[in-house]
Amino acid sequence: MAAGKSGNCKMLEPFKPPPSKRSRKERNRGKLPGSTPASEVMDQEIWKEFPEDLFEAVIARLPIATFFRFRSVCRKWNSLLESQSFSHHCAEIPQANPWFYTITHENMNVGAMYDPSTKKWHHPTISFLPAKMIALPVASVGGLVCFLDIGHRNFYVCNPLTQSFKELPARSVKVWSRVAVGMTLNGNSTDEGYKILWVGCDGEYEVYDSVKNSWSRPGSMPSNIKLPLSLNFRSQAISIDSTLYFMQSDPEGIVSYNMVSGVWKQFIIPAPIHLSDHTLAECEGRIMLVGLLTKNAATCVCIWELQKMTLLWKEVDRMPNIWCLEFYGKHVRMSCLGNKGLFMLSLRSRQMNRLVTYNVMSREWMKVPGCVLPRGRKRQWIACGTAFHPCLTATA
Amino acid sequence: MGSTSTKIKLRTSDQKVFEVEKAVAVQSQTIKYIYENGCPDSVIHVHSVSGDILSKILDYCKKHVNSAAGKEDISPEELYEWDANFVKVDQNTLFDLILAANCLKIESLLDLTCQTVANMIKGKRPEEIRTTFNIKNDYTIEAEEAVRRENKWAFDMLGGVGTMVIEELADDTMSKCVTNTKSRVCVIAANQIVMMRSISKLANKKSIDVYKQPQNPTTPRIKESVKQRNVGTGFIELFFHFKCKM
Repeated sequence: MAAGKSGNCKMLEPFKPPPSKRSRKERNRGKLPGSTPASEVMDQEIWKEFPEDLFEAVIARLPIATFFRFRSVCRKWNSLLESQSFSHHCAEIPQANPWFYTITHENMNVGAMYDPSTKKWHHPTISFLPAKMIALPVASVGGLVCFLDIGHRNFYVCNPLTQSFKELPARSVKVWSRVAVGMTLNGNSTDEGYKILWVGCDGEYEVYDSVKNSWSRPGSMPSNIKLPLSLNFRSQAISIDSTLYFMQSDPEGIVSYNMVSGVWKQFIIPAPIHLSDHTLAECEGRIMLVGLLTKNAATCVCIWELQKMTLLWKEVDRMPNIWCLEFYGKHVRMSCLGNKGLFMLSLRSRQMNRLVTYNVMSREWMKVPGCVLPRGRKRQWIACGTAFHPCLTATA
Repeated sequence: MGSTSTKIKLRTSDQKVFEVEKAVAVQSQTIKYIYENGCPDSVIHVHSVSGDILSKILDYCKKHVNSAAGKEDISPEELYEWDANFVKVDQNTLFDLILAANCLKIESLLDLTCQTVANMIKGKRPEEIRTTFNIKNDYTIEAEEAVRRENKWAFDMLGGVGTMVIEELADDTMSKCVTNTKSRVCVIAANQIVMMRSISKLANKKSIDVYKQPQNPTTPRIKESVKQRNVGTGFIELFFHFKCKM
């Protein structure tokens, strides 16, 4: 089919939506000081003298996807992920918005990652999972995502960006029922290790320590916490400093575990009425709740914040009415895919899957473009996933 | 009696002398070290920085010291804007600022200038990076292909609109496009039909817009005529089989 001549085509720029459709504020979002158009011609005479030791500082400040494109510049740039000094540079940069790692039902081995700052979906191939295994992302911390296979047996930890992964050793307790999972960092980054906790309804729990690469059973549930625990498994756990918080359905409230002291605590917090599909979330140490409020036929997404003094939920924000109208009269399910400062909510009715993000600090609701697998045409249904902080140097 | 602020004298590479408050000068870790470990009274030489650049740097340091100390009523957003304007300089100056910030160890300025450079290069292709910084491509062709494939996900163009550069097109194939202003060019890339928007002066353009999904209603026709060459009806189809290089 080729004609006599063959040509070369090179991609100059990735897809950019037409600028006129975005407000100025949106266009400048994410732009940093000194932002210049990407196509500015750089004078080689000047820049060829750029000192070697400053490259790492510049590269660490590139957008994540750009970093991966530039790995083909030269071998040195390719090997930066293994460089200690590059790690230090990356650690110095303030953390950007989290990305979201989600599972699409069409192909479990191809993750769908959403970058909210460029509003783009990326599809890395997750190569470490055995074929046909379905593993769901259940927790994340410091750039690493913890996967649990559907049979609730094996844990995997992986950095979705670099594919650095580890299969955790088998647990000492055989648990066949659903477990809730939480993950914390020992220090400020994964270099100092991380811990993973799973807890089951019967009060059994174990903690994995990445430094020792083993599971341990630090103790048992205190007697004041009534068993069986009715954990709300649809909600992900949140971690604030070294404490994990899990949502409980009965009694309504939160159960917390401090990884350092090994202490379990229970908080009874009445849930708002007409609430469904609720999940715990957090932002800068504030505990929040995201859920659907359904009254008569109207459904709305609401955000509550926990008042620590009174242990009551106080409503702090709601999804704009216009968006809520889309679901009027329809039966809606919601899952919260990311619960650290920037939440991704997947709202599903019979024929529709609407994805939105909510930024707690700026109180902004934004629509998420549909996820289409490469070489596919259909928009994927997104129901399960977790937020993670994109970190080039996190290793499992 | 109010505290008298200590002043530090700095001499640049071109023999200019600046006298600045200590609080401003010690934003530079290098100057701070020399001041605390050398003779506080004598002049500190900053050999590698010229007068113009040091002057700008001292402006930066003064602004930041004053805003942190509350001497100047400036909000974080305004400081951010001020920083953004500070780095709107020509490339020579920016380059000198980076080197000076590195040498003088002024962390926030180094962060600002490195971020500026990162913004300037983020839209470029790897080849352009190599040219700009005079980096040798030490990959073999196979190795480079392997790295691109490994990191393919970062390149994915969903909804596929982008700009392609057509290189190495033979002259006579190009001229076929140019003659007919309504011509559309159909390209097969990586086994997908990629149709380009009509262009009138293809020969003068280094790049043209590409749509991944052919725009209807011509879709059926394009797909059908993939095996043919000239279709007539104002369409000239050129078929290239090439690897989509990113």
